[in-house]
Amino acid sequence: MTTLTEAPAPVEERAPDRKPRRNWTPWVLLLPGLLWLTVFFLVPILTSVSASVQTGDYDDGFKLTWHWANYHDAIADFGPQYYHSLVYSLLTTIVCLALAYPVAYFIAFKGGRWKTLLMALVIVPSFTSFLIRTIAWKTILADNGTVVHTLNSLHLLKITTALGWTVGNHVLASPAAVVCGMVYNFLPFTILPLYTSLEKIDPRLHEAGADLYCSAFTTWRRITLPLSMPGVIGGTLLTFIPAVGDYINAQLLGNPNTTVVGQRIEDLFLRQTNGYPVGSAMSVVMMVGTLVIVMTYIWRAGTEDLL
Amino acid sequence: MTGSSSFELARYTNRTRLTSTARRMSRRSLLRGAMVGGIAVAGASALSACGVQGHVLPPGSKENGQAGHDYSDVEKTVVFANWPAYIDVDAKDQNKRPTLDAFVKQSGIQVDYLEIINDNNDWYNKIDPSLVKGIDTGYDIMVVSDYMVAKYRTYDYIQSFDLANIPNHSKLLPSVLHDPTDPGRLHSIPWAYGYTTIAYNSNLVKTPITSIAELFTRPDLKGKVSLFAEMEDTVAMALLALGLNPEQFTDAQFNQALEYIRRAKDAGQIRAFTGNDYLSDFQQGNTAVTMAYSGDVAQLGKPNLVTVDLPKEGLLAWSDNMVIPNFARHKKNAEKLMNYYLQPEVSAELTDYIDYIPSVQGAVAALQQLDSDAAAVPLIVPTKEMQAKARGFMALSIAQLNDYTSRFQQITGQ
Repeated sequence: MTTLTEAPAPVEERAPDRKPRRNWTPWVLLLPGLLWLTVFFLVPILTSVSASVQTGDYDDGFKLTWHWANYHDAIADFGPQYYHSLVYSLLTTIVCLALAYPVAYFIAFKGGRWKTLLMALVIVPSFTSFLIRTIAWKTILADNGTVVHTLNSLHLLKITTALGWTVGNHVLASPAAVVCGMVYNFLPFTILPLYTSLEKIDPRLHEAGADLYCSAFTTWRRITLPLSMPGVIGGTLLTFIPAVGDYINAQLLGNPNTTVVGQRIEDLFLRQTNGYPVGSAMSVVMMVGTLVIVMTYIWRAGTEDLL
Repeated sequence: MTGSSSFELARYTNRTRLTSTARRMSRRSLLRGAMVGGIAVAGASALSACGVQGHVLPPGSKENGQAGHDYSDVEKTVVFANWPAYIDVDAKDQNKRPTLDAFVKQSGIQVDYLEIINDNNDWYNKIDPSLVKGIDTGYDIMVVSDYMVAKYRTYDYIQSFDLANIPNHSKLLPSVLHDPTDPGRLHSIPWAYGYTTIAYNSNLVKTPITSIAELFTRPDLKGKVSLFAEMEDTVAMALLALGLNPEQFTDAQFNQALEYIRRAKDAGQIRAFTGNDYLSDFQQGNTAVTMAYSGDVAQLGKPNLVTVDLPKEGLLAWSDNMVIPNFARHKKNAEKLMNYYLQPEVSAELTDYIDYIPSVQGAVAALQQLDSDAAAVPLIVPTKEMQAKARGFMALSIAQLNDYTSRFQQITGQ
């Protein structure tokens, strides 16, 4: 008690006769974060932007020549890759949302005392390496595996092949396999935000809806869905942003006609001695493109406060 | 807590919060200005510093590399960088490597054996900065593919051997000795010599495959073919399929081969352009036909996995070679190790495990003694006809290599 009442005294005494000491504490506390941002965000971004307007090759060195034509090359030569990245990530986001909403709804409202266990079931698979989970799909969808045999005996693959989703009588090495892998890998990112916002909804609102003669569907449409919109927006963003840059799924589960931007950038960086500039230009285009899409989406959805 | 003290506390915290807020306000605006300026300066200097320094070719002795001080006599050790699964290991103990352990015992030289090379170009990019600056890479021997030997030699990055330390050099087969990338083999000695050929799964391919062209054109193989992502391998196969010679081709012929690959890819014939992981898909039955390195498929031991030992059009021959980078600390020890592996018995022992073709005289006889089954496999001990129809890949200039690789990768989309 006494210490508490006495503690402020020295400050009161010192304050008048000295200039107020500069308080560095917040800045010192900020320092690790600022350093982190500088080293791992600011510097890499500047390096990429700079590299994207350089010319040269690995053997003769790269020089900053403000060669903007790199951007022309980065956009004109890789049309199919941008298209694939965009389409696969959009499809993934939509399928993820369609799968995640019922799951999150069920866990939030019907989970009861099993909630924690059910959420653990959603999260625990992510403890395995991303790469290993993707490679597992190669076994699941293997040409002579059960899944493909079943789909073939139901003649379903004929339909998907006609639609261009699969190739021949197999699933691996097709656009469908890429999207399957991506949906699986990113599903938890959609479920978690959805669950968080659904869980906060007061179940009595459902009762109120029923009391006012709303059908179950109308209750969902008029009450639950609007209240869960932050979760929908958050979940779709958390899925779309990593999905648009993901290339592991396309690399492992796709074929040479399903390549995405990331694969070409990796290629330009690692396997071509003069690929740095165009590769950097492609990453800048990707970043800006994603940013524009995401900002438009947030603006259209009217949830700026999410940011 | 009494009423008065809690009131005191509230007053105290309230006051400090107020003052510190005010202070922060002014400081914040000041710092904002400073930071914007700082970022602009840092940005400008970062942008200008981003250029990467290029090569400065050392004057003079372009052929012999740059020797550093040789510590071989003082430090009885040698650092050996190799690819994974490229050496014999004991069946019972994965950490024991019989041939290498025998060398350590015989010579008293410790070998630091590192399986750290996974890709020729990645590896080049990794050690290039040291070599450009003219400092020791830390490796005394590294194993690189033949076309890379040409590249390292162009930049004078590897040293020529002192044959006094490698008396067994004379045992190299004449066909190995006369290499387009290193005539006379004074800078590189094969660790493994092999062919790029075709393997298929007879459960999935009803009519046997006899030619390379079938991979690119046969309709029943659509979507089941896997080719290599490495330019030399796949382009050489396309050239052979077109009846051209990978040892000697023109730009126009290269374009023709590229077009041939592109057409097959666009038609959906190709399932994947793969790296070293092609075997798992092949063994699982996901790819029905694959290009394959001879050592990988020489002894798969499954009746349905068939190798085409000699496609109608011929084979691509290549080698992975031991080289000594500039300024290696233990050059003499490295040469002693190379000399050791050039003994027919040791070469046979290594061959028996990694299944690649021995490149030393007498090794075949030693292999027959050691393992007559392996010696009967044509992809390990090739027939005269196979040797006659095997082609290397033309030595390319750096400009050609870059141009060809980037255009090939436009197609593979890897």
